[in-house]
Amino acid sequence: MTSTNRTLNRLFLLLAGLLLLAVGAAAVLLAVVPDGPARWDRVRTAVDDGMARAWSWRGDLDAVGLGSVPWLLLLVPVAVVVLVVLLGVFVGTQGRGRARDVVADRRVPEASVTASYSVDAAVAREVVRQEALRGGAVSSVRVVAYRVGTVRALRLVAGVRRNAPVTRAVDELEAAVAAWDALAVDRLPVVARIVRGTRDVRTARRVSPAAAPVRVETGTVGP
Amino acid sequence: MSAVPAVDRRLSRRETHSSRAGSAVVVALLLAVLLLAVGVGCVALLAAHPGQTPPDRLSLRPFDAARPALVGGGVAAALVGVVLVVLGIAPGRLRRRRIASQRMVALVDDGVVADEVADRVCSVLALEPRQVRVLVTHRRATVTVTPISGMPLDTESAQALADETTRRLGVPGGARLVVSDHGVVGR
Repeated sequence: MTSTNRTLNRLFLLLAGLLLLAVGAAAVLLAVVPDGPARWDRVRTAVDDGMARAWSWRGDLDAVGLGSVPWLLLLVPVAVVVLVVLLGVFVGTQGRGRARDVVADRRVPEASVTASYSVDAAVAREVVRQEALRGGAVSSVRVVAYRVGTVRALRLVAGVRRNAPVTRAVDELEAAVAAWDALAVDRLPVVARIVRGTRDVRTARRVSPAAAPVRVETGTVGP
Repeated sequence: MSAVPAVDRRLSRRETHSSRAGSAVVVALLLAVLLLAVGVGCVALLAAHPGQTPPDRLSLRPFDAARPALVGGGVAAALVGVVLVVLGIAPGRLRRRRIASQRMVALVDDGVVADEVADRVCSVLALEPRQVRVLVTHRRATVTVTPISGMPLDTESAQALADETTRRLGVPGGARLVVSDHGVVGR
């Protein structure tokens, strides 16, 4: 429900996985192929040459009192900082998208002066909560507003009482959303997730086969 | 349903599939730590060796000495790589399913489905909750009933009820009722 970029997450995991897979496979192959030692020597020579070149590639930084400094000393930390900042931005984009309003900066067309209004998500939360808890099948409900593209959407997480049928919980949540619809100007998209709620005391009862008929209608609580 | 079916589809998809945020954050943090270690290590080395030649210890070890590390490290890297590729490609379906609703995208956790099936089977067979176990997978549910020794069970009714309940709650393959070979003695 959040605005987390799922495609980017998967692409990132896929690329990291493919890179590790390629490096790992290359390392194992290098260790087991018959001409492994010769290939490894070529790798060692290339690394040594690269290091020597990096060390000798120097810049004159007398002006700032550093003298002759290998460029590597400056480039590696700068590259590391840039990449770490990018990774930080990537991590920071996860789990966002909550909205404080369900209606934001709406112009009032009838007003003779420029006027606009917003509706706080807490209003929707209270209306939906109060209505949802009225029926008896829903034991708890959490309501959060999210931005989905350009629209706002409500997300409900409702605990269903043990022994109460799920369909009844859905009916009660629909009634709660209908109560909000009756107040609101817009018909917001709503997603409701039904999770395990509190246990009903009747769960712990003992059922006697002698006393109970073959088929017992259960799963209904009140009224 | 909302007025915009595309939004409903998007909501449903987002609620029933993992965003992979957790795995992506862990990999990103590990990568950041690795990069910082490399960066700090480079600076420390270069600062400690201001001469024109790099220190000897930056050279790779000879083949015989490096071989165990190549095999061990290579296998470990490849295994982690496979896990990450699977995380990147697999759908990451969460244990919940969509059920019918006029107004909303309604989703129910598999645990709730299992509870409801177990409650109804318990009732129809007049059993205690501990005698009925329900496993709900993506395609179907398996209901395992442990009978009371010597007491007949109306398995047809229980099977029909479990099947109807699971299908109504979005399990496409319905339910399979399994009666345990070993019963319990009394209550």
